[in-house]
Amino acid sequence: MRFVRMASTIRTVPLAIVGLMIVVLATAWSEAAAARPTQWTIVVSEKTGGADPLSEHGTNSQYYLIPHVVEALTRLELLPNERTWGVAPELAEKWSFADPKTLVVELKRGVKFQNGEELTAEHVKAAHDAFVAPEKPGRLGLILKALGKAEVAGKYTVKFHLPKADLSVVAATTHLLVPPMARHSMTREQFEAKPIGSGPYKVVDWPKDGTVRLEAWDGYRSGKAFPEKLIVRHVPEPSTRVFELAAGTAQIAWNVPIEALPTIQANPKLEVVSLTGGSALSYVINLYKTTPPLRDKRVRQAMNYAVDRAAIVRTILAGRGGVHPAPLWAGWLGASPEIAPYTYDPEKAKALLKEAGYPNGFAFNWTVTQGVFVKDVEVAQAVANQLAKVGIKATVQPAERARLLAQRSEGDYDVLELIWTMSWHPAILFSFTLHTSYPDAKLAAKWGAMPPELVKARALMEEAGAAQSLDEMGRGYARLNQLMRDEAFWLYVNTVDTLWGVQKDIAWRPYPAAFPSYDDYWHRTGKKAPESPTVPLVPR
Amino acid sequence: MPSLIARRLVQALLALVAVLLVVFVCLLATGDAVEMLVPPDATELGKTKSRHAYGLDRPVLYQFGAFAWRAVRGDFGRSFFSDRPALTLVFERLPASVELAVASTLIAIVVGVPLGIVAAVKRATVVDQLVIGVALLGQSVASFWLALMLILWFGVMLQWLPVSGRFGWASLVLPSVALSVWLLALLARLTRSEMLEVLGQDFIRTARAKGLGTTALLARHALRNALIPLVTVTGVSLGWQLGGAVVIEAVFAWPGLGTILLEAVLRRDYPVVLAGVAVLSTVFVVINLAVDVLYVYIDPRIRPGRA
Repeated sequence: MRFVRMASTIRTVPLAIVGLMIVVLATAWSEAAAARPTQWTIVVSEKTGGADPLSEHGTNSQYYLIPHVVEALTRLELLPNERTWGVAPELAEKWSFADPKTLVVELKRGVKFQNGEELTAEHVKAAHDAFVAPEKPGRLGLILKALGKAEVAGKYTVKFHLPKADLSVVAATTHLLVPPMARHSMTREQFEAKPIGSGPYKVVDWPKDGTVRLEAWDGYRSGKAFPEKLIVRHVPEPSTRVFELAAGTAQIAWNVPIEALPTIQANPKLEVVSLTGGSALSYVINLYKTTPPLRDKRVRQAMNYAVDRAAIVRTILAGRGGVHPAPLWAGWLGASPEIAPYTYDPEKAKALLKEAGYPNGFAFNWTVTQGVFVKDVEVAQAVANQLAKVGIKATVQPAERARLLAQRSEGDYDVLELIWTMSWHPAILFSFTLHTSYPDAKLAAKWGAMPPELVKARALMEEAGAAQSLDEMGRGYARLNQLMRDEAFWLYVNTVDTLWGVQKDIAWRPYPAAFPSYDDYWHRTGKKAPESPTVPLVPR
Repeated sequence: MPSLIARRLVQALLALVAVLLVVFVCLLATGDAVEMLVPPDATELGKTKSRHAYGLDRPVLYQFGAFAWRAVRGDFGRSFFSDRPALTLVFERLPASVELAVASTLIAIVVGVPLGIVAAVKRATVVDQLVIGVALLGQSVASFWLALMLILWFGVMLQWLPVSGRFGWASLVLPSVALSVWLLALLARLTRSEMLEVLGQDFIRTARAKGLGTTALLARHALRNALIPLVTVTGVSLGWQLGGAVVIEAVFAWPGLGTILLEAVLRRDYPVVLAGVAVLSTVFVVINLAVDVLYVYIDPRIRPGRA
């Protein structure tokens, strides 16, 4: 814990002083416009991991970095209609369900790997089998097991025989990275020494745990990507990432701290680029518990009415976020703009508490992470202060993530932190919050039968999951979303924008996707990038 | 001498086993690695399978026994997260840590010891006060603040040195300076106080009366007699800097052992934590052994067997 506090302390360095000095420096810089650089250095907060697409690297970089070189069947992103997110083709041309338990994927033809191999269904089957076969399946292996068994049904056709009928399984194909067949006759180490894929970039150098150097591949099927060279470096300390920008040694800094935003904005060469609502922070309320009286809907609603979300976004997040109205926010399948967030109404909260038999409020314990998510402790403390105004006394206890996960596994929590990044299909989100967060046997033994609203929510989730079309599924999840909002399953707080500090001369904008590309993805897809540095998840 | 080394090695081995056992039990008692490994919606059955696959469903002592049996053969298992050999992950980081620890220790010795000598020789003068002030500042300043200031001045404003990363000697300068300051200040103060004590002794007065020059007097007679506490502090500090420079490593994006161990602890990646602890403990033992041996050469009076 001492190290955790130390790491947290670093994040709260006096950036104001540092910022002031950078601003002074920035004014001395030349104003001359420069040509768009052809080499970009990106400093990221997570380790770069290794290059092998068939291995777990224990870092999120495997989801966004490797696809620059080794592509997946599909991508999860804003669809070309720019109205919704969904599964977009990458190596797959199209897909359909031959029957509810058979997913048929047609591959793009003429796709070449950097070693000259042509993409076929054999490649996809070999990749899938390699993911799901290991004795110790990692996170990806478990996700891809949802695709069942792969069968080569033609040179460019793969059939997945699903273990159960599920339309949303298409989303799993976004994780199915396909390397050339050559990978399967190599060890992981041999492949990582010279990684090969079909993606827009070739690997110049990819040390297991160091600076990754990529070079745009001339032979890419959609034309050469921009920039010519990409360098990706792991710089864990947020202030140092900002320094790299200020020194001009990095073009993009991912996850810049909110305290540093004025510094970046004051520098004429830099800008803050954001993807609005990239993630959300809320708290799952333990519906089983009678002490504290969280089983009572009125109590949970009172907690929601007691929180001034807009003030939290305005002050703690410096406006870089939004009010979180319900489990699903813009972009999700089943999200609805009509769902109104709980208003800030302390009087109504008090009235509800009184009606529930707790006119003087109650107390509960609240374990939160520290420094894992943007302003996690600060937001929790602000919420706790607001709850205190209606008589609810929350004891906020920062703890390691492992401790929180253990509490969840045992059902030993009152209110549990929930941090979720934007995706498209909410099956995992709902499964996590309606099933995994409630170990029924342990909870029922202590707190009584399953609460009826949880029974109803699970039934709605099953119903939505079994839908025969995406439209029907969306409507099903919308009903579940409304129920969870009205029954106050969570203590809803805020969404947070994903933030980057960027050199203006590279004019980089993130494409709304689960994992943005660090090249000019807009250029790659032939679309015009938005001029505003604030990129919405879904254009209005 | 060989018996001293043998005795110390046996003690070290016992200490190493005890440290590993304590770390192992603490890690198991404070969180479940499987919870961090599986997707968020994993079922209890899925978790149970994963737990079994990693052998985490066995009794703690059995797990430790199995680990110890493999460890003596050099197999510390594979990282739960990256599925790579834990010892390899640690050894990949060790050179960067050694580089940083040695460089910062050298800076501390080269600057701190002479400062202490000068302060002692110029006792109660402005120079002495200045050295004491600098040493006090060096021990008080927060390392992350100093590190950020160094980056700001030399990386951002003057652009003389890289802001972060490990790209040759130039990138070693700022982190090693930042890491050295605390030890430098400590050595300066310690050297000053030890030298003051030695310089007041009779044999120094005798040497001076015999007409020995100041340099020879300080180097051959005074400093040698003041060395034992300096060597002790430097040895302990070197061991600490190898694995404990987490803050400096994080600020300078220096790929050392400290950050990988911290990350492994937070994720309950037992094989990596245990491999790291074993390597660091071994290095610590070796350094301490070297310090013990050095004592004998610095001061023959404490050679084993001598009264």
